[in-house]
Amino acid sequence: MNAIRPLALALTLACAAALPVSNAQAGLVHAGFGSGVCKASNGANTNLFFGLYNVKNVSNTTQYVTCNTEFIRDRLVNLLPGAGYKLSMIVGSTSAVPQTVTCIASVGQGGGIASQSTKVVTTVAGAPGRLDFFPVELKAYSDTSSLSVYCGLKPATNIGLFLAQQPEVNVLVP
Amino acid sequence: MRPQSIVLPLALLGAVLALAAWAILARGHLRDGRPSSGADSTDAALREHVRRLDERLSRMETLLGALPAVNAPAASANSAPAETAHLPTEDEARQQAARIQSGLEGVFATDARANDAGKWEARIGQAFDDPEVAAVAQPSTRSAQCRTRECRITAQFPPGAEGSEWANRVAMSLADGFSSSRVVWDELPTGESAVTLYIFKKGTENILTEQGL
Repeated sequence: MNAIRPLALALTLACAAALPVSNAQAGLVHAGFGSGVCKASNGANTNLFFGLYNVKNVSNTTQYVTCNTEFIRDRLVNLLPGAGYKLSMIVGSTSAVPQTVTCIASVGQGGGIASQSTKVVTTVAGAPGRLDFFPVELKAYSDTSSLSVYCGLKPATNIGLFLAQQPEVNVLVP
Repeated sequence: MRPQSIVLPLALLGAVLALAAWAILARGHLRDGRPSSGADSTDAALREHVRRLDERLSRMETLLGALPAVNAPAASANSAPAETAHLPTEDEARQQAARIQSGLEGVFATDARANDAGKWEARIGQAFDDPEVAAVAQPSTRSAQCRTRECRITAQFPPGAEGSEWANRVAMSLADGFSSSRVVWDELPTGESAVTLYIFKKGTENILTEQGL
């Protein structure tokens, strides 16, 4: 796990350049998901393949996966309460038939409260989709927030290449 | 004092120390070659000078060590230094959660019940019966009420039951009509857990921003 996290972070930073996500004013952020932070939502599950940076449904039925990460707080990462997070995900498929992937991104706070957003994307082989969650949807009420993603993967679909950031740290929602 | 501004004085100090050391060695060589009767007092003064310079250097090193690393990025004007962050205590987090839920309840209470509320409640009922939802641990009680802009779903789970899977799958089943939501979990004195989902119809999410929620 400890070995994976730096790799995930490195990938995330590398992906930041590849994904059309503006982080010019980013108070940057942060972390990626990989095999170390994702797991089947119902425990052990051989119907999911966990790559280093993606998760793929290798079965013929819908599978559910949950990924959790915590924000790393240091001089580069300022988690300001009141601001939100932007999260981008790439969704792919090896199916010739269009398949949907539904994901819930959730920013959990202390005290049992969470802000969350649900998005759906349809993807087909050769035409990956993308899910974008915006700060207004993923608001952080405090600076001890954690980010989780819960996805329902239809057969032959996969998720990966996560990028989370807090792009406008100077804009606080009152 | 910025770390960069200390580097130059330190470099100068180092040069002075090197020069002083060279002078001592040079005098020693000269004295070995040509003994001088007045050299002792001069040597003592020079040693004292070097000792004082040494002390100054130590003090500056101590000060430098207390500063942030020279290579650390300077905090931008837009970002708060991590050192000033206040991590809320458990009590503070609970109070904050209570305040936010109070705000969410206030929004729900002032949102009028629309004519199509029954239709949305029926839609949520279908989500409860969705096979993907029915496949996970079920709540002991559940209900839904809808308003113009949002619906509120409440459910209670028996002690030890994991309710988050149910809540996630319900929200997922309603993805065609709702997007943003706020979720509040409570542990009841009975050991049961309760969840309240405030789910906002697509296009009405701005109410959350307007209300600071």
